[in-house]
Parts: sequence; C-alpha cells; structure tokens
Amino acid sequence: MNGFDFASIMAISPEIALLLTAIAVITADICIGKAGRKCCTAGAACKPEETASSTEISSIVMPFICMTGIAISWYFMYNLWNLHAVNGAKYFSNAIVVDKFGLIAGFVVTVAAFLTALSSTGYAKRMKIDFGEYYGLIMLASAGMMFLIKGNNLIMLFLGIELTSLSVYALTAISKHREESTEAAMKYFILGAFSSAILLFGMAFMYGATGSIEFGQMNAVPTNRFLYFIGIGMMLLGLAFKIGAVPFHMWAPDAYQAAPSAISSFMAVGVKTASFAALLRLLFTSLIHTSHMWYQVPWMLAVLTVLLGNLTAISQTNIKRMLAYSSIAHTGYILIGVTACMGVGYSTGLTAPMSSILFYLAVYALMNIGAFAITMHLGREDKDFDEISGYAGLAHKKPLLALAMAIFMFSLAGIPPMGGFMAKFYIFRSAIQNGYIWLAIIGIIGSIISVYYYLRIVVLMYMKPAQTEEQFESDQSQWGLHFTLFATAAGLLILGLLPGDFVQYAIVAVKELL
Amino acid sequence: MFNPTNCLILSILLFAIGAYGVIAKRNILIMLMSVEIMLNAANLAFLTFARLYNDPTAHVFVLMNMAVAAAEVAVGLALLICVFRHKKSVDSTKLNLLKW
Repeated sequence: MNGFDFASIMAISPEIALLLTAIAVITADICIGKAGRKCCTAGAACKPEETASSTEISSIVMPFICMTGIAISWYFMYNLWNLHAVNGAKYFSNAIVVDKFGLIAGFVVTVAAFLTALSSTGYAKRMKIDFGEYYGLIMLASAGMMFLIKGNNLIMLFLGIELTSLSVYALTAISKHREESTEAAMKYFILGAFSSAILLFGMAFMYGATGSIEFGQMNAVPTNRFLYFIGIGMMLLGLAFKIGAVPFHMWAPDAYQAAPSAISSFMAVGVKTASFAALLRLLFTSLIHTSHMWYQVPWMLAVLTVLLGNLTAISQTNIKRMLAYSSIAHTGYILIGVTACMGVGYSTGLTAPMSSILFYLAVYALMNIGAFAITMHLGREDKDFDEISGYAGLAHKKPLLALAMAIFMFSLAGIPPMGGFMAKFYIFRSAIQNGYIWLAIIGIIGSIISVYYYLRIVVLMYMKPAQTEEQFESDQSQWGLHFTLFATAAGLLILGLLPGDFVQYAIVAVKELL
Repeated sequence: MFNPTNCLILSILLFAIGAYGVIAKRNILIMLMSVEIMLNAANLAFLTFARLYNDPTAHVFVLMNMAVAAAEVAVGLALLICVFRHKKSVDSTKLNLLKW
C-alpha cells in the first residue's frame, strides 16, 4: 500500500498519539507552566503564592496529559493487534510494518514511558526540572522508539534511532544547573553522534552491496563481499553502541549516574528495548542467511559484555552507577539470546531464543524501573539517594520500601521466584538448545558474580543499623512513586510465577516475524 | 565522467578524516564538525551507489540525513553551551568529573 489512505494512518496511530501528546504538553507548558515564571521575571507583579500554585498545578497536569496520551496509544495498539498481524502488513511504501512483534515491543516501551511519567509527578518538581521540556522530550523519545521498532527499512531505522537519541541526550542534561549532568550529556552526545555516523556509513555500504534499503529485500546473496561485510560490521558497531555492549559501553555509566533517576531508567529500558527490537528485526529479515560467517562477532560481544559488566559493577559505591553496569551485564544476557539465534536452521531454532528475548526485555523493564524508583523515592532536595552505604538499615525504618527493593534486587540477580529468574532461564535454555553450551555457561558464571553486588544491598538494608535517624524521610508527594513501585513489584512476581501467558504471546509474535 | 570507485575512495577518505577528528582532537567544536564530515561521507557513499544503480531511494535517504544532521548539530551546540557555562572551556579533557 503506497498511498496515504485511512489504513496507513491507522497503522501509525499509536505514534501519532504520542507525538500529539508531546505537542499538547509543550502547549500546556506555555499556557500554565511558564505563567508563573514570567510573572517572576517581570518583578513587581509577582506573588510567590501564585508561582507556587502554578508549579503545583503543572506538576500534576503535565504527567496526566502524558499518561492520557499513552493510554490512547495503547487503545490504538490494541486495535492494531486485533486487526492485523497476519504476517505483518506493510505501509508507506514498505517503510512501516505492523506486526505483533512490534506491538509487544512497543507496549513494553510505552509502559516504561507511562511509569516514568507517573513516577515523575512529585519527583520533577523536587528536582527543579522544567516540566514542559521534560515531559515533551519523554513523549518524543517514546515516539522515536516506536518508529524504530516499526521501521521496515534503513531510513526508518536511522530516523528512529536519531529521534530517540537526540531526545535522550537532551533529557540527560535536563537539570542543566548540575555540572555533572551537562558533562555526561556532552560525552553521551559525542559518542552517540560518532556511532550514528558509523551506523550510517555502514548502511551506505550495505545499500551498495545489496542494492536495497528494505529489510526484506537485503537478503539477496551479496555481489560484493567486501562492501557487504564492511556494511554489516559498521551497522553492528553502531547498534552495539546504542544497546550499550562492551567495548562500546563507556557512555552508559556516566549518563545513568548523572541523569535524574527517572530518566536513567527510561534510557536504560526504552532505548534498550527499542534498539534490540530493531536489531532483531534487521537480523532476522535481512542478515540471518549469512550469519554462519560472522556469528563470532556477537558471540565475543556477549561474552565481553556479561563478564566486564558484572565485574565492574562489584566495585561501585554509587547505586545508579552500579545499576548502569548491571544494565550492561543484562545487555550481555540478551546478546546471548541474539547469538543463540545464529547459525541454526532458519525459523526452526529461532522461536525459542527470540521469544525469550522479548520476555527478558519486559522483565528487565519492570525491575530496572523499580530499582531506580527507589532512589527517587528516598532522594531529598535535588539529589537522588544514590550512595549504596546509605541503604543500611532501611528495612527497620521503611519495611515496605525495603521489601520492594529486595524484590527488585532478587529479580535482577535472577533468584526464583522472581521474573528475572524465568527470563534468564529461558535465555540460557535456548542457548543450550541451539548448541551454544559455552555461552550459557559464561552467562551463568556472570549471573553468579552478579548475586554478590545485588545481595550486598539486601544485606545492608536488613542486617545493618541505620546511620542517622531521619535520613529516609523524603520531602515530595509520593503517590505516583508508590503506585510505580507496587506495579513493578507485582508485575515481577506475576511474570516470575506465571510466565506462561506472556511467553505464549511472545511466541505468537515471533512466529509471525519469521 | 562518473567513476564510482573514485567517489567511494573519496567518501572513505572523508570518513577517515572525520573519525580522526573525533578521536584525536580535544576541542569539542572540532569534534562536532568532524561528526558532520562523517555524516556527509556517508551521504556521498549513498549518492554514489544511487547513481550506480539508477535508484532514487537513496536520494530520499540523503535528504533525511541532512535534516538529521542539522537537528543533531542544534542539540550538540546547545549541550556545548551548557557545558561551557560550567567549565568556561570547550576542551574535552576538562570533562573529567565522572570516571569509572
């Protein structure tokens, strides 16, 4: 279908909803948010109470607009799920594909955006963040991720990556009065732009080797091997940067530590889910038929990422930086799943690893958002609660909060009955089934190492006394965070105890992609 | 005369110059400009292949890339101004607050 008919518009209706929400948020910011600030700069007419009440209103209204927009986009996604999804209908001259795989990944991304907006209700005000830019950029980034997931040619892949990354660079520096935030954003930007350029150059060579930029069309046998392998290598390098695989991970710890926690979790979850979905789509529509020649590259990346991520996380004293290294390690586990798909027969051995990757991404989203939400919950003034030693004695003062944190840590470490255990179990099982025994063993070694630094926090919370009396008292409205923590913890338990339903959906979705 | 090999060699050279600039230079402004050179090297490669295959698709891609490059430089300069306000410098070695 080439024209701009109704069906084409409906195919991208979730993205349109997100983009319109971004515009609505920015407009609302001009109408209510800026009124307070303008009144202050004008001087004489300023009443402090008016400014305060205006901030109060917009701190509730803006996330509410975002959540409404995301709910609308869920409705559209639900419609698409019921309507389509017979082998992925393609729209806009095959630039956009709508299939169940993309809808599941898109759902994970929008859930992450929803929880970010929800948990920012009190948080953004406490951190003195400008609401309009903050929520607008979150919406733009999620729209970019959705396009990235749905893209069916290299143009959409590149545009999706750029829309996502540019929004996230700006979000990293959103509290621009903090020196380390701007510094981390600058580093992230330089490395990100560099890797985008490499990715684009790889795309150009890929186009040169295969004569097409469409995902389904690039799997002709390459006429020119030199161009083809340079193309694949550079594209993998660019994408490895976006998912944060070692040795292209150096931006992640800085950016996660210096960004506000809400943004760190959104970055970790959203960007990773969308990039992995795009990577999987690219691999399994276009590159898989030559993968027996280069599967060693993702193999090496997976091993390095699992080991280095876990080993470096041990020595961290800042919990956000530790979570950043742990998210690098989790990238490694997912890469084990990606590697497990390679070199096996087309479509026979692929269902298990690919559906387990989708499951892993969903579980990872919940546990990561939850863990970062704890640092937001306990933070005071314009800081996050990020010193690991500060967690000593939390269980005696705030037992429920400590219980939630323990659930997230157990899940990240992969201890049953949490979702993290089932996710790792599926990934490693699929690796063993497809003959990558050593990869599974290295993954298991990595997760054994990781138990140490996750459980250290649990031990601190439950077995050490608190340092001071009132260090866990926070000064923000908490209902959004409470709901986020409850939803993520409950979701982890449900996915851990009853993973069957989601896995069934994932298998259906993946079968369609193949 | 259109010679695709020469065009490709030129684009690879441009890409190498850009990559050298990002890796070796310490001035963030020069790093930004080098990234732009890398993007344009990719554009040149796209156009070479488009000419070779007589295929308009890549021309569309190049137009999109130009828009992306403009947006990227806007965000990059905005971040650079933020950094400059704190550090009073555009030297990348001054970005040393966060490590390990």
